[in-house]
Amino acid sequence: MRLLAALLIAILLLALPIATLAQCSGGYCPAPQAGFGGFALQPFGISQFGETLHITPAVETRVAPSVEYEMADSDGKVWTHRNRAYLRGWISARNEALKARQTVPPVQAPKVETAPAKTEKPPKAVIDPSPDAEVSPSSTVPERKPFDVILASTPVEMNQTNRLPAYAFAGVDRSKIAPPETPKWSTNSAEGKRLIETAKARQSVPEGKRSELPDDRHKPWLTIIGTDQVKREAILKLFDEGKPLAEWKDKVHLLAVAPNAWQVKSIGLKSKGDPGVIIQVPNGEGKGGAKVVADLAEPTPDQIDSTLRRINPNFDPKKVQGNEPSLWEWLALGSYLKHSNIGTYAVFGAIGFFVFVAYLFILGLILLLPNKRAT
Amino acid sequence: MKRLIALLISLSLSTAGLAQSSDGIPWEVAGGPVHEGDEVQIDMPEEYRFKNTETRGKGNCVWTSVKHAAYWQQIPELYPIISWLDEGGGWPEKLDELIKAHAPKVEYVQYEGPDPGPLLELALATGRIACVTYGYGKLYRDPRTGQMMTIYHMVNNTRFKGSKAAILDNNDPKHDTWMAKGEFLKRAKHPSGSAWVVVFLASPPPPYPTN
Repeated sequence: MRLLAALLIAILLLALPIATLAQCSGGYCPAPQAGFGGFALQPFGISQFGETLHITPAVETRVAPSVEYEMADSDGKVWTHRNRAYLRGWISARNEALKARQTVPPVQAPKVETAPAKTEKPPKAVIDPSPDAEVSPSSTVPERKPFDVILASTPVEMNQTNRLPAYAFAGVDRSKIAPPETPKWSTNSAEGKRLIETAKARQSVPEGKRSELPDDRHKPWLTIIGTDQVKREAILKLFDEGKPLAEWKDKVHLLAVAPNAWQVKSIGLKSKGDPGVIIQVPNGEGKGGAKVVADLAEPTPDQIDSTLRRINPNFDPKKVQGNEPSLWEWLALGSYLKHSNIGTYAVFGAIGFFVFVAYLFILGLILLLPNKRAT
Repeated sequence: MKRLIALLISLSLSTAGLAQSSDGIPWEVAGGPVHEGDEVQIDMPEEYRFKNTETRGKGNCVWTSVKHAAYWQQIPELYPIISWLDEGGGWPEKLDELIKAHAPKVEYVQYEGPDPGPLLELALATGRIACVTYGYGKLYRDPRTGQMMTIYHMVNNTRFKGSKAAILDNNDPKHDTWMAKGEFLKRAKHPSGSAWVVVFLASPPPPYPTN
């Protein structure tokens, strides 16, 4: 029985690398390391203009410090290089040259009898003489049979099957992206810095244990809809021009569009004014959509401001910022004055007041009843 | 002991079964905005699904992805972004330079590194579309070998929620391409182990009215 258990444990241990292997096909896999196994990446090719350029990462590591590329062109030259960006430039320059060559009609050269070559030699290695290039230390490249095979086959076959143009495969310069060891964040705004801090904090927590997103999904939506762009933008500008609307700029989602814009047309959002302002309040977590709480026709800044203050207190901008009033403030009538919002604060203030009056009433009854009995 | 053996058998079989697929390639479906009951978080209108182009021989996948974000988040300053290019191809500093020169008021965040998940989560949950690097996929298979090839590409992430992710690939903009979330992260980081994510901070479109 113990033997059987040991056997099963061995199967389990074997299954894990098999699973890793299956996931690695076509994906990122760690480089082969002595004693640890691992899988090298497949070579990849770019086919265009009737030829195939094949690039083989000879050694691929996670940080790619020693990636060596070998590339064969249709002239039979094998190029070797370490600098990915430089190779990209090389491909680009070559393609341009080929393109130019294609525009010029080929001249039919007369057939010349030449002496047959003594032996079929492998293509000679060419090391690019560019001073900026990080040239591979090996100045001679040994025989590369896989490249010969690739070059001997017809690239047309590949072109017929693979219909994507070459530029579809390479539009990002990966060499200019920070390596995984030194991640980089950048932004051009204060709001962006806040987002970065949030994202950074979440990076340190495992995915399953992350708390709810402290995001802006609960902000009200203010959509300006109008046929005249100048009028729409005039309302939008009010949010940049100080009181009373400037303080709302970061507290609502702002959008100004024409009535036929897809953002409003696709969801049937219409305003009675032109321009009009629609204010929506999200329905909450998991419910989707948002309730229209106001539809203002050609509103003044004060009208927009007062409407934003009157809407559902759950969307109080101070609450959105995480600046919720304390329990004491909720019960105190003073919260109304402090937040200038009559909504929930006033309701809670009133409840507090009535509870206090009821308490006095009951206290009075308790104090008065024995006196009545005594008389 | 018998229970232990049964547990080990089921564990070993499920571990191998989970990772294997019929063709050895992780699952990927080029479909619509809904996949087995799950919806994309960003449903880009058909008329604003742009196809990748080139400028002087170099791909504009980065700028097409940015253009998608510009149309989704109503950033008209960025609509002509491709016309600003002398040459295609993109990287983080080039984006910084272009925005600084042509649309300095447009706010955005960039991340380059091995853990793009939290930023994608935040962006998508708030209705913003993310531009993300993409290193391989079924669309980019070597017709000879059937193997997926390494590519240097950027796409838009349209879902990053639950166990699934979806992308809007500008080389196949008619489809929403679905895959497992973990698989998408692998593709975003391939081959260097580092992903590049761009998120614009402008407000996303309003939600549908419910009254």
